[in-house]
Formats: sequence, structure tokens, C-alpha cells
Amino acid sequence: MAVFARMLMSKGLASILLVAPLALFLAVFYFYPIAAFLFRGVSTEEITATIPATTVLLREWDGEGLPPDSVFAALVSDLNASAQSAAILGRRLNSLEAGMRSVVRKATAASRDLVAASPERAREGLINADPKWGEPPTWQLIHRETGTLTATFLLAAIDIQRGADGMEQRGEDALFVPIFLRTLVIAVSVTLICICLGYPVAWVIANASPRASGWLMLLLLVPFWLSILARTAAWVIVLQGTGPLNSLLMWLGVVDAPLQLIFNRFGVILVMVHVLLPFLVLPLINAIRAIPKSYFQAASNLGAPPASAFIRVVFPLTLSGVWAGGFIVFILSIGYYITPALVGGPSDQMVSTFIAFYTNQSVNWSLASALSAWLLGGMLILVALSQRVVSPMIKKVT
Amino acid sequence: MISSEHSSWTVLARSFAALVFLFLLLPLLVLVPVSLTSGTLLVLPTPGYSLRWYEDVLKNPIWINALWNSLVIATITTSVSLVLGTAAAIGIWRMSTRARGLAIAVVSVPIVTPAVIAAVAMFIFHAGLGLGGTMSSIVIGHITIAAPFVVITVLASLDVFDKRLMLAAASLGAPPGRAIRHVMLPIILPGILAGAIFAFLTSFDEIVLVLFLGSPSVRTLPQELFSGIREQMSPTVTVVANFLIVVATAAIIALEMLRRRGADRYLQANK
Repeated sequence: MAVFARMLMSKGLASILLVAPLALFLAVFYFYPIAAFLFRGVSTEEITATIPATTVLLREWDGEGLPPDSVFAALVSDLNASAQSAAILGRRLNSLEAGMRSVVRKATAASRDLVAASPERAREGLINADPKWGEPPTWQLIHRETGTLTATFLLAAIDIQRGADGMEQRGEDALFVPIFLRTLVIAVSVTLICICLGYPVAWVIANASPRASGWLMLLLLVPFWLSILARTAAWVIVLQGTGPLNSLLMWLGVVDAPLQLIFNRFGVILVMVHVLLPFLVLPLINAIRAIPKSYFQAASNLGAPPASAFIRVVFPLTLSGVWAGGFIVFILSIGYYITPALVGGPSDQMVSTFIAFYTNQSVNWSLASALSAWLLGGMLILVALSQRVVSPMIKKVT
Repeated sequence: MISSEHSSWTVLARSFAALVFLFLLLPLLVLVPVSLTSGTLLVLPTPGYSLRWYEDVLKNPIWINALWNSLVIATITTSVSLVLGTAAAIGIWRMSTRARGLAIAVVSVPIVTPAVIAAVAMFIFHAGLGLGGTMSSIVIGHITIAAPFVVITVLASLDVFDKRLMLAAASLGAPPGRAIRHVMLPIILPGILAGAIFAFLTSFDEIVLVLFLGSPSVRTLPQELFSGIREQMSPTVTVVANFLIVVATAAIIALEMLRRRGADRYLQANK
């Protein structure tokens, strides 16, 4: 007992005991659900659960020609076991190949009369119900999607379609690659605009008298702490056709008719910049404050005009702050969902919107999972790159 | 840094900064007059002033119910996050530098992961546990994103905490638990309270998780605001937005007071 007490008091164990409750909570309620969700993108369980007996037999099939009659019989009994499972199977196969829903439905209807039939009769019956059951590609599709893991959804999420004759990159009708690119474009635009707008603000706050900088910080923090929904509501009022901004522009004679300022790309970027700007300014203020005031003076004393003293001496020293703030803004904006949903049009929706769509509206969790995996994977690569490549580069410059 | 001799640059930077501040504050300045309109449209200038929309919100059970749900969820989230987060922060603070870096990285994951991914994952997980659409589901979701803020805020206040005070307490015979309770916690209290404010607002303003984890019977204030903006923008939405401005301002003032108190204690401790 005494030994145990001493162990408890030992530094390492006490730390672990203090951290354990939160670590456990996050592991169970945060990291596990996300890991399980991401696994859905490569899992075949949704299909194998609907046709368990068929799955077992198909895994022994070599994939050549038609499977043995026993597989047909297994499918008949699987389809008879649960109408709901049969419906799920149809929906899932249909998302992989158009038309499969009715193929499965016909087989389900036919299988009611084939329950007690011999395997041979089962094969004939299914092929009678829909000739597709007599074609090897149909069985190859089911064979592929009932393996241990599938790459189908990860490929579909970057517009690569798997057909009978190998993989094919969708060109004209590409769906997701343009959305990933759009997400990137919006995130980069927001980040660059935030840097341009935020740098002078950080500069002024960092160099103001303590009293003035306290007030300016307050002005910066009120919008920072205000609910994103309250801010979005305000922007909808400001930017709408009859809103004050359009009234002002028309009164000034700049435009004759109200401009469309919201429910388009302009509105999305504007509101995102408004929400994310403080994330850039706050780290930058610290970076600017950390520069010894004498540096600028020294450059001036050596004859550098203010502009060149700034560009050649001071600006490089603030790069790490610009990078830190810019990186936070970029990472946060890449996952944006609420702003595009409220002030964007259909062509301004980012990847998150589609993850939500495939979860709620069109229930295809595997595709939602695959899109999430690409989004998270891309973010991880960017974080790693910034740690390995860009940060050392900035250190070299400064 | 730039003194008066470079005044033209200073003036330029200041004017630009003033415009950016206008951009940051303009939408907030619009909310107050619009919410006081006597008409039904969200236009400026308003046809006249009245408190009718404030009355409308206060008498509307939908808004009051949503406010109540949000308050309950945020209060429970804050309490649990405070306990889990403060304990974890003290544990992380005692670790070696390397372990600390790793722990902070892990704790930061919920802050930077796209909210939709977490929301969808929890939606599926909670449905499997039979928690779907309940208040518990929302609270669990909120704790995962609020507790990391507590950890980071408390760690920041521990950064300036003098480790020798713990040694002093130990040398006077205090067991570690007692030293933490009577020496450390009172000194880092401002940091813990700041973490509480962070956690409360994180939950109170949270919208993405709630959209997936909530249900028609458990709707929060942000959810009602979201529907209000999306479906029919009426002055009631601006009344609620104004209420949130008051909440945000109160939070900032409280945080500033805590920061000053924290600074005072730091100075006292290092006298």
C-alpha cells in the first residue's frame, strides 16, 4: 500500500492520472467516432451485411465467368431474409452503377418463388427475372464490393469511376475535383485578403500607446467573440438589394441598379474574411511587438528611407507572425460550412457542404466518409509541409 | 515604433486600419437600429422606432425555449470541461517538454478539424449508442470542442506560475493534492475562469454540431437563428443578434478583468 502511494505521488504517474479523464473522454467521444466514420469510406460492411451468405461464397469465387449455382441460391435466400436489406443492397449497388436498383428489385421479387428451388433453378430464375444476372460484370461488381476493403468510394470522391473495363477519370461531368479546387481557391483568397487587411491593423495596434491599443483590441475582440450567426445576419441586412450599402452606392451614383452582393462568391468571401480576420491579427500583433524598436532606428540611422527600412528589415521579421496567422485562417476556412450555406449560392458551396449533403439528404455515408478523408488528408499534408518546409525557410529568412 | 518623422506612413497605415475597423464594426452598428424598427422590413433608415420586436421575442416560447436549452447545455458543458480541462492542463504542465508538445497537439485537433466532419461522425456514433437527438448528445459533442479551450487557457496561466511555490508547499509537508488545491489553484484561478468563459461561449454559440446532433424537440438559440436567417429574416433575428452582442461584450470585459487580476497575482508572486 505504501509502495502504491509513493507511485501515485511520483511525478509521471500523477501527470498521467490528471490527463487520463480528458484523454479517455476525447478518445471515446471524439477520436473513435471520427476514426470509425473514416473507416466507413473503405469498409464493405454496408453491403456484406445485406447478403451475408452470398458474401461468404463469393469470396471463394475466382471472378471468372459466372459464379457457381450455389451463389445464386445463397443470393435468393439472402434477398428473402429481409426486404429492408434487399432495398439497402439495391440502393448501394445503384450508387455504383446506375440501373442496379431495378435489377436487385426484380431479383428480390423473383426470389420469393425460388426459396425452395434447387441451385440450378435459382440461377435460371434470377436470369429470367433480369438478364443482367447472367452477365459476368454484374457479379464482378458485387464480388469487388463484398471484399474485405474497397477503394471505390475514395476513388469516386476524386471522380475516378471504376467500371468493368478498369478505372476512368471523369472529365466533363467531374463532380468533386472542381469542388475541392473551389474550396482551395476560396480558402486561399480569404487568407490573402486577411493578410492584406490585417497587417496594417496589427501594425497600428502593436505601435499604439498602451491605452489606445487597449481600446483597439476591444474593437477587434467584440466581433471576434460575437456569434458567427449574429454577424452573418448583420451582413445579410447590409448587403441585401435594399440594404444600406446598395442605397449608398445608388445615392452616390456609382451604380444605377442594386448590385448582387450576397448569395454569391463575393458575399461568402466577405463574411469569411470578417469572421477570420482577428485570427490573423492577434498572432501578428505579438510578432510585431517582439521586434526591438531599435532595429528600425538603426536602419534609418544607416540611411535607409522608411519604406526600405520597413521592407528590408522589419517586414522579414514579421513573416513568422504572418505565416502563423495566415496558416490558422487557411486551415479554419478550408472546413467552412455555415457561411457558404447562409450567404453562398449553389456554386459557392465547399467540400463540407457535400459531406453534410451525403450524410443527411442523400444517405451515402461511405461517400461522405471518403470526401472527409480527402479533406482531412489534404489538411494533414499541408500541416506537415508547413512544419517541415516553410517554417525552416522562414527561420532562415529572419 | 514609427515616430512622427515618418508621419506620412503612419497616417496612411492608420487611415487604412480605420477603414478595416469600420468593416469589422459596421455590421454590428447596423443591428441595433434595425432591431428597433417599427416596421416589418429590415431596411435603414427605419420608418420609426419601437420595441415591438423585443416584445415579440420575449413573448415567443420558441425563442425562450431555445435560449433555455442553450443555457442548460452551455452550463453543463462548461462544468464538465472545466474539471476535465483543468486537471489535464495541470498534468500536461508537469510533463517533459516533448510530451507536453505532443499533448498540446492532440488537444488542438478538435479546434482545427472541420466541424462538419466531427458533427457527421458523432451523429452516426451517437445514433448507434441510442443518444440520437438528445440533449446529452449535444453536451457530449460540445465538451469535446470546449474542453481543449480550457486546457489551452489554463496552460497559458500555468506558464507564468512559479514552480518553486509547489516545492515550498511540499517542503512544508503538504501532499501534492493539497498543494494543488491550496497553492496552485488560487493562483491560476483567473486562467481557469477565463477557460470557463471560453468554454461557455464555445457551447453557447455552437451551430454545426447542433445541426446534426439536435432534434426538433431540442433546439438551441444558434439553431433558431440559423433557421431565421435561412428561411425568413425578420427583425426578431436582429433582436437576438443584439442580445448576443451584449453577451460577447460581457465576456470580453470579464476576460479583461481576469487578465488584469492574473497579471497582478503574477507580479505579487514574483515580488
